[in-house]
Amino acid sequence: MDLIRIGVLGITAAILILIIKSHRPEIGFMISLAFGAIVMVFLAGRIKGVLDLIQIYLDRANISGIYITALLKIIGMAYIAEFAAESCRDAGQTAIAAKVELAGKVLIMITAVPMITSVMSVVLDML
Amino acid sequence: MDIDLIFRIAAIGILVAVLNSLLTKSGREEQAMMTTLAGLVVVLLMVVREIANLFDTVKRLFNF
Repeated sequence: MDLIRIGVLGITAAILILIIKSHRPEIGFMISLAFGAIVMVFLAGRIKGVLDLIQIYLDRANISGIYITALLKIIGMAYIAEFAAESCRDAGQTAIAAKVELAGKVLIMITAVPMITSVMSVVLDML
Repeated sequence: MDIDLIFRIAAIGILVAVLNSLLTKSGREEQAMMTTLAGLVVVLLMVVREIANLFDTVKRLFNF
């Protein structure tokens, strides 16, 4: 049901942008930004449900909390980096979008360092 | 899901476009520029508030 609302809203936003783009291209970009923000806020609420479910099972398998928080942070970072990069690409700034994506990748890798080190230590112990 | 934000921005955009062409036709270019900038600032404020709401939600949900 919500998908229908998002789909219809997306189509109307696209039509409105077409109308306004010829006169004021910057306000057209604002509409696409606003639509992106609205849908991402809505999806963030839905993702929270899934994350709580994962959290319960991870607690039951008593995996330590560091990995869960790092995992959540990585998902959030990917979420924001994707939103920012696609908005910049939509405004025609592909170079800026690439830089934002690169920053997102690097920062996600840095957040994943504790996981990598623990995996490496386990592997090295086995050798 | 506040859908009316998009329609408000579109309405302001169309209003600014019409006002702009109206004012340029009647010879007052600087006032046309003023209304364009005013409309843009209002739209910017609305969009920035929505994006700030998005970033706060993500920060709260993914406990940054």
